Amino acid sequence: MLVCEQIQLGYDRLLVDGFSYTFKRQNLYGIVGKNGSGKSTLLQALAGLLPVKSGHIYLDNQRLTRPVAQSYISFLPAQKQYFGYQTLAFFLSLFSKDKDKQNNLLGVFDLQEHANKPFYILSDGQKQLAYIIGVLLQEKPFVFFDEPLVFLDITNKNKLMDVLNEQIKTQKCCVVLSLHDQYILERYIPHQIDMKELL
Amino acid sequence: MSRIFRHKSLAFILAAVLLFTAVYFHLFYGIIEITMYQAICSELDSKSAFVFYQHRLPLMCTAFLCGASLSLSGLYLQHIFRNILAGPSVLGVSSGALLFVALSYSTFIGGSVLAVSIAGILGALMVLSLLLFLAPFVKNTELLIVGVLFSFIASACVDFIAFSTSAQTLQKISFWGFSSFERATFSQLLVLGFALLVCLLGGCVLAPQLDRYALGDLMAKSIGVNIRMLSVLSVLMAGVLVALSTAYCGPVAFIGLVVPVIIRMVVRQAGFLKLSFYTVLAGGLMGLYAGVFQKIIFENQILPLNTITSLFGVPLVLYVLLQKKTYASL
Repeated sequence: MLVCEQIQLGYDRLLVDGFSYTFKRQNLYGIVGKNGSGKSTLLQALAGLLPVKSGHIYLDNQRLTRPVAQSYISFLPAQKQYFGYQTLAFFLSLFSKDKDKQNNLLGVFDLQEHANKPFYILSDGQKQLAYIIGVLLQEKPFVFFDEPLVFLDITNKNKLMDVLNEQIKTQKCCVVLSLHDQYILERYIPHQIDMKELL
Repeated sequence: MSRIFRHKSLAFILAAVLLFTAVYFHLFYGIIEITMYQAICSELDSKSAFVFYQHRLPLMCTAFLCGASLSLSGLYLQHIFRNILAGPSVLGVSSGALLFVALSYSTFIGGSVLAVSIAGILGALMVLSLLLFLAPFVKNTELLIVGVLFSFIASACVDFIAFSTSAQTLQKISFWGFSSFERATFSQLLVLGFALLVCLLGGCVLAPQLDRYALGDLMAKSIGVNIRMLSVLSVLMAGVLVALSTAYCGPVAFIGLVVPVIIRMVVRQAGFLKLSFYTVLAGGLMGLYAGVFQKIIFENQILPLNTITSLFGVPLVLYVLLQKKTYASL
Protein backbone atom coordinates (compact mmCIF):
# COMPACT_ATOMS: atom_id res chain seq x y z
CA MET A 1 0.00 0.00 0.00
CA LEU A 2 0.94 3.60 -0.55
CA VAL A 3 0.75 5.86 2.48
CA CYS A 4 0.80 9.67 2.46
CA GLU A 5 1.61 11.35 5.73
CA GLN A 6 0.79 15.04 6.05
CA ILE A 7 2.08 15.92 2.60
CA GLN A 8 2.26 19.47 1.38
CA LEU A 9 2.40 20.28 -2.34
CA GLY A 10 2.38 23.36 -4.50
CA TYR A 11 4.45 25.99 -6.21
CA ASP A 12 4.14 29.68 -5.24
CA ARG A 13 0.73 28.83 -3.88
CA LEU A 14 -0.01 25.73 -1.80
CA LEU A 15 -2.27 23.20 -3.58
CA VAL A 16 -2.29 20.40 -1.05
CA ASP A 17 -1.78 20.95 2.68
CA GLY A 18 -1.50 18.20 5.25
CA PHE A 19 -2.93 15.39 3.14
CA SER A 20 -2.84 11.97 4.77
CA TYR A 21 -4.29 8.97 2.99
CA THR A 22 -3.71 5.27 2.38
CA PHE A 23 -4.03 3.82 -1.13
CA LYS A 24 -4.61 0.07 -0.89
CA ARG A 25 -4.08 -2.61 -3.50
CA GLN A 26 -7.13 -4.04 -5.25
CA ASN A 27 -8.81 -0.67 -5.08
CA LEU A 28 -9.76 2.04 -7.57
CA TYR A 29 -9.45 5.69 -6.57
CA GLY A 30 -10.65 8.77 -8.41
CA ILE A 31 -9.26 12.27 -7.94
CA VAL A 32 -11.70 15.05 -8.78
CA GLY A 33 -11.42 18.82 -8.67
CA LYS A 34 -11.69 21.86 -10.86
CA ASN A 35 -8.99 23.02 -13.31
CA GLY A 36 -5.83 24.22 -11.61
CA SER A 37 -6.73 22.60 -8.29
CA GLY A 38 -3.59 20.43 -8.33
CA LYS A 39 -4.76 17.02 -9.53
CA SER A 40 -1.74 16.55 -11.79
CA THR A 41 0.63 17.82 -9.11
CA LEU A 42 -0.78 15.35 -6.59
CA LEU A 43 -0.58 12.45 -9.05
CA GLN A 44 2.99 13.26 -10.02
CA ALA A 45 4.01 13.41 -6.37
CA LEU A 46 2.28 10.08 -5.65
CA ALA A 47 4.13 8.56 -8.62
CA GLY A 48 7.44 9.77 -7.21
CA LEU A 49 8.06 12.21 -10.05
CA LEU A 50 7.77 15.40 -8.02
CA PRO A 51 9.25 16.05 -4.58
CA VAL A 52 6.84 16.92 -1.77
CA LYS A 53 7.29 20.24 0.06
CA SER A 54 6.91 18.53 3.39
CA GLY A 55 5.55 15.25 4.73
CA HIS A 56 6.32 11.71 3.65
CA ILE A 57 5.15 9.10 1.17
CA TYR A 58 5.78 5.42 1.89
CA LEU A 59 5.32 2.51 -0.50
CA ASP A 60 5.01 -0.82 1.32
CA ASN A 61 6.86 0.74 4.27
CA GLN A 62 9.80 2.02 2.20
CA ARG A 63 10.43 5.68 1.50
CA LEU A 64 9.21 6.55 -1.99
CA THR A 65 12.45 7.21 -3.87
CA ARG A 66 13.05 7.16 -7.66
CA PRO A 67 14.31 3.54 -7.74
CA VAL A 68 11.37 2.35 -5.61
CA ALA A 69 8.91 4.28 -7.79
CA GLN A 70 10.43 2.81 -10.95
CA SER A 71 9.95 -0.76 -9.85
CA TYR A 72 6.45 -0.40 -8.37
CA ILE A 73 4.73 2.47 -10.15
CA SER A 74 3.58 3.21 -13.68
CA PHE A 75 2.29 6.64 -14.62
CA LEU A 76 0.34 8.24 -17.46
CA PRO A 77 1.00 11.99 -17.74
CA ALA A 78 -1.73 14.30 -19.01
CA GLN A 79 0.62 15.97 -21.51
CA LYS A 80 2.42 13.69 -23.88
CA GLN A 81 3.84 13.76 -27.35
CA TYR A 82 5.67 10.92 -29.00
CA PHE A 83 8.62 12.07 -31.07
CA GLY A 84 9.24 9.60 -33.84
CA TYR A 85 8.01 8.29 -37.14
CA GLN A 86 7.85 4.73 -35.85
CA THR A 87 4.80 2.47 -35.89
CA LEU A 88 2.34 1.82 -33.07
CA ALA A 89 3.84 -1.68 -32.67
CA PHE A 90 7.31 -0.19 -32.13
CA PHE A 91 5.85 2.38 -29.71
CA LEU A 92 4.35 -0.41 -27.59
CA SER A 93 7.60 -2.39 -27.65
CA LEU A 94 9.15 0.44 -25.64
CA PHE A 95 6.98 -0.62 -22.69
CA SER A 96 7.04 -4.39 -22.98
CA LYS A 97 8.50 -6.87 -25.44
CA ASP A 98 5.69 -9.35 -24.68
CA LYS A 99 3.88 -9.66 -28.05
CA ASP A 100 0.94 -11.64 -26.61
CA LYS A 101 0.15 -9.00 -24.01
CA GLN A 102 0.49 -6.27 -26.64
CA ASN A 103 -1.88 -8.01 -29.05
CA ASN A 104 -4.31 -8.79 -26.27
CA LEU A 105 -4.61 -5.15 -25.22
CA LEU A 106 -4.65 -3.92 -28.84
CA GLY A 107 -7.54 -6.34 -29.39
CA VAL A 108 -9.49 -5.02 -26.41
CA PHE A 109 -9.46 -1.51 -27.85
CA ASP A 110 -9.83 -2.58 -31.53
CA LEU A 111 -6.43 -1.25 -32.54
CA GLN A 112 -4.86 -4.38 -34.13
CA GLU A 113 -5.36 -3.07 -37.67
CA HIS A 114 -3.40 0.06 -36.75
CA ALA A 115 -0.40 -1.76 -35.26
CA ASN A 116 1.77 -1.25 -38.33
CA LYS A 117 0.72 2.33 -39.01
CA PRO A 118 3.06 5.16 -38.01
CA PHE A 119 2.12 6.50 -34.58
CA TYR A 120 1.73 10.08 -35.78
CA ILE A 121 -1.13 9.38 -38.19
CA LEU A 122 -3.33 7.94 -35.41
CA SER A 123 -6.14 10.12 -34.05
CA ASP A 124 -5.85 11.81 -30.65
CA GLY A 125 -8.12 9.20 -29.10
CA GLN A 126 -6.12 6.33 -30.58
CA LYS A 127 -2.88 7.90 -29.34
CA GLN A 128 -4.40 8.24 -25.88
CA LEU A 129 -5.35 4.55 -25.97
CA ALA A 130 -1.83 3.66 -27.12
CA TYR A 131 -0.32 5.47 -24.14
CA ILE A 132 -2.82 3.79 -21.79
CA ILE A 133 -1.89 0.38 -23.24
CA GLY A 134 1.76 1.31 -22.67
CA VAL A 135 1.06 2.00 -19.00
CA LEU A 136 -0.93 -1.21 -18.58
CA LEU A 137 1.79 -3.28 -20.30
CA GLN A 138 4.21 -2.43 -17.51
CA GLU A 139 2.03 -4.41 -15.05
CA LYS A 140 3.13 -2.46 -12.01
CA PRO A 141 1.32 -2.86 -8.65
CA PHE A 142 0.52 0.88 -8.49
CA VAL A 143 -0.90 2.58 -11.57
CA PHE A 144 -1.52 6.33 -11.79
CA PHE A 145 -3.44 7.92 -14.65
CA ASP A 146 -3.63 11.68 -15.15
CA GLU A 147 -6.85 12.30 -17.13
CA PRO A 148 -6.96 8.94 -18.96
CA LEU A 149 -10.46 9.60 -20.33
CA VAL A 150 -9.69 12.64 -22.49
CA PHE A 151 -10.25 12.10 -26.25
CA LEU A 152 -11.96 8.75 -25.59
CA ASP A 153 -15.47 8.00 -26.85
CA ILE A 154 -18.14 6.55 -24.53
CA THR A 155 -17.46 2.97 -25.67
CA ASN A 156 -13.75 3.22 -25.04
CA LYS A 157 -14.28 4.96 -21.68
CA ASN A 158 -16.42 2.05 -20.55
CA LYS A 159 -13.97 -0.48 -22.00
CA LEU A 160 -11.07 1.20 -20.20
CA MET A 161 -12.89 1.11 -16.87
CA ASP A 162 -13.75 -2.57 -17.39
CA VAL A 163 -10.11 -3.37 -18.23
CA LEU A 164 -8.93 -1.48 -15.14
CA ASN A 165 -11.39 -3.31 -12.90
CA GLU A 166 -10.26 -6.63 -14.36
CA GLN A 167 -6.57 -5.78 -13.83
CA ILE A 168 -7.32 -4.75 -10.25
CA LYS A 169 -8.85 -8.18 -9.66
CA THR A 170 -6.32 -10.33 -11.52
CA GLN A 171 -3.12 -8.47 -10.71
CA LYS A 172 -4.18 -7.12 -7.35
CA CYS A 173 -2.99 -3.66 -8.27
CA CYS A 174 -4.00 -0.24 -7.05
CA VAL A 175 -5.30 2.24 -9.67
CA VAL A 176 -5.60 5.98 -9.12
CA LEU A 177 -6.96 8.28 -11.82
CA SER A 178 -7.99 11.89 -12.17
CA LEU A 179 -11.15 12.60 -14.13
CA HIS A 180 -14.01 15.01 -14.80
CA ASP A 181 -16.58 12.55 -16.08
CA GLN A 182 -19.57 12.44 -13.69
CA TYR A 183 -21.07 9.37 -15.32
CA ILE A 184 -17.88 7.30 -15.03
CA LEU A 185 -17.35 8.59 -11.52
CA GLU A 186 -20.75 7.44 -10.29
CA ARG A 187 -20.73 4.17 -12.16
CA TYR A 188 -17.20 2.88 -11.53
CA ILE A 189 -15.26 4.73 -8.83
CA PRO A 190 -15.81 3.63 -5.24
CA HIS A 191 -13.23 5.91 -3.56
CA GLN A 192 -13.13 9.60 -4.38
CA ILE A 193 -10.66 12.25 -3.36
CA ASP A 194 -11.87 15.82 -3.83
CA MET A 195 -9.09 18.36 -4.26
CA LYS A 196 -11.03 21.10 -2.50
CA GLU A 197 -10.85 19.11 0.73
CA LEU A 198 -7.05 18.90 0.62
CA LEU A 199 -6.25 22.54 1.18
CA MET B 1 8.79 7.73 -49.64
CA SER B 2 8.76 4.69 -47.40
CA ARG B 3 6.92 2.74 -50.08
CA ILE B 4 9.99 2.78 -52.32
CA PHE B 5 12.04 1.23 -49.56
CA ARG B 6 9.56 -1.43 -48.57
CA HIS B 7 11.78 -4.10 -50.04
CA LYS B 8 14.86 -4.14 -47.89
CA SER B 9 17.10 -5.85 -50.41
CA LEU B 10 16.14 -3.32 -53.07
CA ALA B 11 17.14 -0.47 -50.76
CA PHE B 12 20.48 -2.11 -50.02
CA ILE B 13 21.22 -2.69 -53.70
CA LEU B 14 20.33 0.94 -54.43
CA ALA B 15 22.60 2.13 -51.60
CA ALA B 16 25.45 -0.09 -52.82
CA VAL B 17 25.12 1.23 -56.38
CA LEU B 18 25.05 4.81 -55.15
CA LEU B 19 28.07 4.21 -52.95
CA PHE B 20 30.01 2.57 -55.74
CA THR B 21 29.21 5.39 -58.16
CA ALA B 22 30.28 8.03 -55.65
CA VAL B 23 33.54 6.22 -54.86
CA TYR B 24 34.20 5.84 -58.58
CA PHE B 25 33.74 9.55 -59.26
CA HIS B 26 35.88 10.49 -56.28
CA LEU B 27 38.80 8.25 -57.14
CA PHE B 28 38.79 7.82 -60.91
CA TYR B 29 37.39 11.07 -62.26
CA GLY B 30 39.49 14.16 -62.69
CA ILE B 31 42.06 15.93 -64.79
CA ILE B 32 44.71 13.31 -64.18
CA GLU B 33 43.53 10.03 -65.60
CA ILE B 34 43.71 7.10 -63.22
CA THR B 35 41.88 3.90 -64.11
CA MET B 36 40.52 1.38 -61.68
CA TYR B 37 42.82 -1.26 -63.12
CA GLN B 38 45.91 0.87 -62.40
CA ALA B 39 44.86 1.54 -58.85
CA ILE B 40 43.97 -2.04 -57.98
CA CYS B 41 47.11 -3.56 -59.55
CA SER B 42 49.19 -0.70 -58.09
CA GLU B 43 50.54 0.32 -61.50
CA LEU B 44 50.49 4.03 -60.74
CA ASP B 45 53.39 6.27 -61.73
CA SER B 46 54.69 8.63 -59.07
CA LYS B 47 52.54 11.57 -60.18
CA SER B 48 49.31 9.59 -60.33
CA ALA B 49 50.18 7.88 -57.05
CA PHE B 50 50.60 11.25 -55.40
CA VAL B 51 47.26 12.50 -56.74
CA PHE B 52 45.54 9.26 -55.80
CA TYR B 53 46.88 8.79 -52.29
CA GLN B 54 47.54 12.38 -51.22
CA HIS B 55 44.54 14.06 -52.76
CA ARG B 56 41.65 11.94 -53.97
CA LEU B 57 41.61 9.27 -51.29
CA PRO B 58 41.82 11.66 -48.32
CA LEU B 59 39.24 13.95 -49.96
CA MET B 60 36.85 11.04 -50.30
CA CYS B 61 37.39 9.98 -46.69
CA THR B 62 36.85 13.54 -45.48
CA ALA B 63 33.63 13.85 -47.50
CA PHE B 64 32.31 10.61 -46.02
CA LEU B 65 33.36 11.32 -42.43
CA CYS B 66 32.16 14.93 -42.50
CA GLY B 67 28.75 14.01 -43.94
CA ALA B 68 28.37 11.11 -41.51
CA SER B 69 29.41 13.17 -38.46
CA LEU B 70 27.07 16.06 -39.26
CA SER B 71 24.18 13.69 -39.90
CA LEU B 72 24.71 11.74 -36.70
CA SER B 73 24.90 14.96 -34.71
CA GLY B 74 21.68 16.10 -36.41
CA LEU B 75 19.99 12.85 -35.36
CA TYR B 76 21.04 13.39 -31.74
CA LEU B 77 19.95 17.05 -31.72
CA GLN B 78 16.56 16.32 -33.29
CA HIS B 79 15.99 13.60 -30.75
CA ILE B 80 17.02 15.55 -27.67
CA PHE B 81 15.16 18.73 -28.65
CA ARG B 82 12.29 16.59 -30.04
CA ASN B 83 12.19 18.73 -33.16
CA ILE B 84 12.84 17.51 -36.70
CA LEU B 85 14.11 20.92 -37.73
CA ALA B 86 16.83 21.02 -35.10
CA GLY B 87 19.99 20.65 -37.16
CA PRO B 88 23.52 21.76 -36.30
CA SER B 89 23.41 24.73 -38.68
CA VAL B 90 19.89 25.81 -37.70
CA LEU B 91 20.61 25.79 -33.98
CA GLY B 92 23.68 27.99 -34.40
CA VAL B 93 26.08 25.25 -33.33
CA SER B 94 28.20 25.58 -36.47
CA SER B 95 28.33 29.36 -36.01
CA GLY B 96 29.47 28.94 -32.41
CA ALA B 97 32.26 26.67 -33.59
CA LEU B 98 33.15 29.16 -36.34
CA LEU B 99 33.39 31.99 -33.82
CA PHE B 100 35.79 30.13 -31.56
CA VAL B 101 37.88 28.93 -34.50
CA ALA B 102 38.15 32.52 -35.69
CA LEU B 103 39.20 33.53 -32.17
CA SER B 104 41.83 30.81 -32.18
CA TYR B 105 43.19 31.93 -35.58
CA SER B 106 43.33 35.60 -34.66
CA THR B 107 44.96 35.25 -31.23
CA PHE B 108 48.22 33.78 -30.00
CA ILE B 109 46.60 30.32 -29.89
CA GLY B 110 47.05 29.92 -33.64
CA GLY B 111 45.67 27.48 -36.18
CA SER B 112 47.24 24.15 -35.21
CA VAL B 113 45.12 20.99 -35.48
CA LEU B 114 44.78 20.69 -31.73
CA ALA B 115 43.99 24.38 -31.17
CA VAL B 116 41.38 24.55 -33.91
CA SER B 117 39.73 21.27 -32.79
CA ILE B 118 39.51 22.35 -29.17
CA ALA B 119 38.33 25.84 -30.09
CA GLY B 120 35.63 24.39 -32.34
CA ILE B 121 34.45 21.97 -29.67
CA LEU B 122 34.32 24.72 -27.04
CA GLY B 123 32.31 27.00 -29.34
CA ALA B 124 29.83 24.30 -30.30
CA LEU B 125 29.39 23.14 -26.72
CA MET B 126 28.91 26.70 -25.50
CA VAL B 127 25.98 27.21 -27.86
CA LEU B 128 24.56 23.78 -27.08
CA SER B 129 24.74 24.23 -23.32
CA LEU B 130 23.00 27.60 -23.64
CA LEU B 131 20.28 25.94 -25.75
CA LEU B 132 19.95 23.07 -23.29
CA PHE B 133 19.64 25.59 -20.47
CA LEU B 134 16.96 27.57 -22.35
CA ALA B 135 15.05 24.53 -23.66
CA PRO B 136 12.68 24.15 -20.67
CA PHE B 137 11.68 27.83 -20.82
CA VAL B 138 10.81 28.22 -24.50
CA LYS B 139 8.56 26.44 -26.96
CA ASN B 140 10.01 24.01 -29.49
CA THR B 141 9.69 26.42 -32.40
CA GLU B 142 11.02 29.30 -30.34
CA LEU B 143 14.16 27.31 -29.60
CA LEU B 144 14.93 27.29 -33.32
CA ILE B 145 14.61 31.06 -33.38
CA VAL B 146 16.96 31.28 -30.40
CA GLY B 147 19.42 29.16 -32.42
CA VAL B 148 19.12 31.50 -35.39
CA LEU B 149 19.70 34.48 -33.06
CA PHE B 150 22.85 32.77 -31.76
CA SER B 151 24.07 32.42 -35.36
CA PHE B 152 23.56 36.14 -35.90
CA ILE B 153 25.49 37.06 -32.76
CA ALA B 154 28.26 34.62 -33.64
CA SER B 155 28.66 35.91 -37.19
CA ALA B 156 28.61 39.50 -35.92
CA CYS B 157 31.48 38.60 -33.57
CA VAL B 158 33.32 36.85 -36.41
CA ASP B 159 32.92 40.00 -38.53
CA PHE B 160 34.26 42.04 -35.66
CA ILE B 161 37.29 39.78 -35.30
CA ALA B 162 37.84 39.84 -39.06
CA PHE B 163 37.61 43.62 -39.06
CA SER B 164 40.16 44.10 -36.31
CA THR B 165 42.72 41.55 -37.40
CA SER B 166 45.58 41.39 -39.89
CA ALA B 167 44.93 40.87 -43.59
CA GLN B 168 46.54 37.45 -43.43
CA THR B 169 44.31 36.21 -40.60
CA LEU B 170 41.29 37.75 -42.28
CA GLN B 171 42.05 35.73 -45.38
CA LYS B 172 42.42 32.56 -43.32
CA ILE B 173 39.12 33.12 -41.54
CA SER B 174 37.13 33.94 -44.66
CA PHE B 175 38.71 31.06 -46.54
CA TRP B 176 37.74 28.80 -43.69
CA GLY B 177 34.17 30.12 -43.89
CA PHE B 178 33.98 28.74 -47.45
CA SER B 179 33.42 25.14 -46.50
CA SER B 180 35.32 22.49 -48.40
CA PHE B 181 36.43 18.89 -47.97
CA GLU B 182 39.80 19.74 -49.51
CA ARG B 183 41.80 20.98 -46.60
CA ALA B 184 41.47 18.34 -43.87
CA THR B 185 44.83 16.78 -43.08
CA PHE B 186 45.46 13.11 -42.41
CA SER B 187 45.72 13.62 -38.64
CA GLN B 188 42.45 15.56 -38.66
CA LEU B 189 40.83 12.69 -40.55
CA LEU B 190 41.96 10.27 -37.87
CA VAL B 191 40.56 12.48 -35.10
CA LEU B 192 37.23 12.87 -36.90
CA GLY B 193 37.01 9.14 -37.64
CA PHE B 194 37.77 8.26 -34.04
CA ALA B 195 35.20 10.77 -32.72
CA LEU B 196 32.56 9.39 -35.09
CA LEU B 197 33.26 5.85 -33.92
CA VAL B 198 33.08 6.84 -30.24
CA CYS B 199 29.82 8.74 -30.75
CA LEU B 200 28.31 5.88 -32.74
CA LEU B 201 29.23 3.42 -29.96
CA GLY B 202 27.89 5.90 -27.40
CA GLY B 203 24.65 5.91 -29.37
CA CYS B 204 24.54 2.10 -29.20
CA VAL B 205 24.86 2.21 -25.41
CA LEU B 206 22.26 4.97 -25.01
CA ALA B 207 19.86 3.71 -27.72
CA PRO B 208 17.31 1.96 -25.45
CA GLN B 209 17.12 5.05 -23.25
CA LEU B 210 16.92 7.40 -26.24
CA ASP B 211 13.99 5.40 -27.65
CA ARG B 212 12.10 5.83 -24.38
CA TYR B 213 13.10 9.50 -24.17
CA ALA B 214 10.94 10.06 -27.28
CA LEU B 215 7.83 9.32 -25.16
CA GLY B 216 8.08 12.74 -23.49
CA ASP B 217 9.87 13.83 -20.32
CA LEU B 218 7.38 12.69 -17.67
CA MET B 219 6.54 9.38 -19.32
CA ALA B 220 10.24 8.63 -19.94
CA LYS B 221 11.12 9.56 -16.37
CA SER B 222 8.40 7.27 -15.03
CA ILE B 223 9.90 4.28 -16.84
CA GLY B 224 13.38 4.97 -15.59
CA VAL B 225 15.08 7.26 -18.10
CA ASN B 226 17.58 9.67 -16.59
CA ILE B 227 16.56 12.68 -18.66
CA ARG B 228 19.29 15.07 -17.59
CA MET B 229 22.20 12.65 -18.00
CA LEU B 230 20.86 11.50 -21.34
CA SER B 231 20.46 15.01 -22.75
CA VAL B 232 23.86 16.14 -21.54
CA LEU B 233 25.63 13.09 -23.01
CA SER B 234 23.82 13.27 -26.34
CA VAL B 235 24.37 16.99 -26.72
CA LEU B 236 28.03 16.49 -25.82
CA MET B 237 28.44 13.89 -28.56
CA ALA B 238 26.54 15.98 -31.10
CA GLY B 239 28.62 19.01 -30.16
CA VAL B 240 31.93 17.20 -30.59
CA LEU B 241 30.88 15.88 -34.01
CA VAL B 242 29.68 19.25 -35.32
CA ALA B 243 32.68 21.02 -33.86
CA LEU B 244 35.28 18.72 -35.40
CA SER B 245 33.71 18.60 -38.84
CA THR B 246 33.16 22.36 -38.76
CA ALA B 247 36.70 22.98 -37.58
CA TYR B 248 38.20 20.85 -40.35
CA CYS B 249 35.86 21.46 -43.30
CA GLY B 250 34.21 24.77 -42.47
CA PRO B 251 30.50 25.18 -41.77
CA VAL B 252 28.61 22.74 -44.03
CA ALA B 253 24.89 23.46 -44.07
CA PHE B 254 21.82 21.21 -44.32
CA ILE B 255 23.42 17.75 -44.46
CA GLY B 256 22.98 17.44 -40.71
CA LEU B 257 19.34 18.43 -40.97
CA VAL B 258 18.18 16.59 -44.07
CA VAL B 259 19.76 13.15 -43.70
CA PRO B 260 18.29 12.17 -40.31
CA VAL B 261 14.83 13.36 -41.41
CA ILE B 262 14.94 11.20 -44.52
CA ILE B 263 16.15 8.21 -42.51
CA ARG B 264 13.36 8.72 -39.96
CA MET B 265 10.79 8.81 -42.76
CA VAL B 266 12.11 5.61 -44.29
CA VAL B 267 12.83 3.51 -41.19
CA ARG B 268 9.56 2.93 -39.33
CA GLN B 269 10.05 -0.21 -37.32
CA ALA B 270 13.48 0.27 -35.81
CA GLY B 271 14.81 2.17 -32.87
CA PHE B 272 17.60 4.66 -32.38
CA LEU B 273 20.34 2.03 -32.76
CA LYS B 274 19.47 1.21 -36.36
CA LEU B 275 18.54 4.81 -37.09
CA SER B 276 22.02 5.93 -36.10
CA PHE B 277 23.74 3.34 -38.29
CA TYR B 278 21.58 4.16 -41.31
CA THR B 279 22.09 7.87 -40.65
CA VAL B 280 25.87 7.48 -40.61
CA LEU B 281 25.81 5.54 -43.89
CA ALA B 282 23.36 7.89 -45.61
CA GLY B 283 25.17 10.93 -44.25
CA GLY B 284 28.48 9.62 -45.56
CA LEU B 285 26.84 9.01 -48.92
CA MET B 286 25.39 12.53 -48.92
CA GLY B 287 28.85 13.92 -48.11
CA LEU B 288 30.37 11.89 -50.95
CA TYR B 289 27.79 13.20 -53.40
CA ALA B 290 28.26 16.80 -52.28
CA GLY B 291 31.94 16.27 -53.10
CA VAL B 292 31.13 14.63 -56.45
CA PHE B 293 28.85 17.49 -57.51
CA GLN B 294 31.46 19.99 -56.46
CA LYS B 295 33.92 18.15 -58.66
CA ILE B 296 31.76 17.55 -61.74
CA ILE B 297 29.61 20.66 -62.02
CA PHE B 298 32.31 23.15 -61.26
CA GLU B 299 35.18 21.39 -63.01
CA ASN B 300 37.47 21.13 -60.00
CA GLN B 301 37.17 24.75 -58.97
CA ILE B 302 36.98 25.32 -55.26
CA LEU B 303 33.42 26.43 -54.83
CA PRO B 304 32.06 26.61 -51.28
CA LEU B 305 30.38 23.34 -50.39
CA ASN B 306 27.53 25.23 -48.80
CA THR B 307 26.45 26.38 -52.23
CA ILE B 308 25.84 22.78 -53.19
CA THR B 309 24.39 21.51 -49.93
CA SER B 310 22.02 24.49 -49.76
CA LEU B 311 20.87 24.04 -53.36
CA PHE B 312 19.97 20.42 -52.65
CA GLY B 313 19.10 20.75 -48.97
CA VAL B 314 16.57 23.57 -49.05
CA PRO B 315 14.12 21.85 -51.44
CA LEU B 316 14.30 18.70 -49.31
CA VAL B 317 13.58 20.62 -46.11
CA LEU B 318 10.68 22.38 -47.84
CA TYR B 319 9.33 19.01 -48.96
CA VAL B 320 9.37 17.79 -45.35
CA LEU B 321 7.72 20.98 -44.11
CA LEU B 322 4.97 20.77 -46.70
CA GLN B 323 4.02 17.30 -45.52
CA LYS B 324 1.85 19.09 -42.95
CA LYS B 325 0.62 16.07 -41.13
CA THR B 326 4.07 14.71 -40.57
CA TYR B 327 5.48 17.97 -39.38
CA ALA B 328 2.56 19.10 -37.25
CA SER B 329 2.74 16.04 -35.10
CA LEU B 330 6.47 16.02 -34.52
